[in-house]
Amino acid sequence: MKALLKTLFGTATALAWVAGVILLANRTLASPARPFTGIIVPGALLIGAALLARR
Amino acid sequence: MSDISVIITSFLTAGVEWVEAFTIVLAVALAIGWPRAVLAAFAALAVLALMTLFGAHAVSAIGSMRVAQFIIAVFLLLFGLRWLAKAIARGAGLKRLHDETAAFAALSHSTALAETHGAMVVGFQGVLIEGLEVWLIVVALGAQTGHTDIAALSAIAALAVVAGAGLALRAPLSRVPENTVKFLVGCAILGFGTFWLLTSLGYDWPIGDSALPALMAFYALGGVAAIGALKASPQ
Repeated sequence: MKALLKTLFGTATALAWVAGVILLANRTLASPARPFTGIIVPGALLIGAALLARR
Repeated sequence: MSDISVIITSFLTAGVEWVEAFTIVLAVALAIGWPRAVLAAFAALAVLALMTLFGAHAVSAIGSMRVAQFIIAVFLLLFGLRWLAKAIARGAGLKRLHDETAAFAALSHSTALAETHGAMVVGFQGVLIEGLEVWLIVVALGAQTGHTDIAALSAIAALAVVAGAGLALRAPLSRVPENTVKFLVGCAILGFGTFWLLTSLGYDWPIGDSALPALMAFYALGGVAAIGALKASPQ
């Protein structure tokens, strides 16, 4: 039960992070920072992976 | 480049999942015999093959290519993020490494294998659950590149290699560096997911298709740095 809850929480956290990254990508593409989207988005995903690893 | 990336990513993803599936089939085979264990495994593989055909058809039925690209990218990002996070945690010592020998020992002593029908269900479920991740990657990479056949054949090749090695050894394949493979696969899947997500949102990559290997390298280097940082930080 504890393992299942942990898995569900991990999936929900990853889902929330990916949703946040998509919003960030959308905003960045519509802003003057558009050329840097290809760096900002992977950077945000890498930070997410490191934070999820620490959890 | 994309085709080679699809072949390597599908092969490695499938390989690491088939290693875990083989451990389950081996435990089942030693409990109820090889014929029944193999039958259960083949039944699960048949379900996965049907799911692959259905999945590829469902993706191609989506009218807009950009919508299909976006949906596939979201799935790949979710999947890749979790794989990379898990590999970073294991690499940094925050999570125990997956041990095939221990998993085999635990399953062999399980009461679930005491009865023939129950053991066959364990074998079927084990292969199906491990194969679901393979299915997702084959459908996602295959549909997006238009080469589901290549992705599926890579997964089948990995199955042949793992089954061949496993049957020759008659033991869990515990020497396969699972965490390293999962780390590399996580980087590759995140690379594909990022590339297709931003492409579907209308971003023009300044270096074109070369952005794909560059993204994979970025995640690999960043992942190694994250492992180092997590190892150095106080728990």
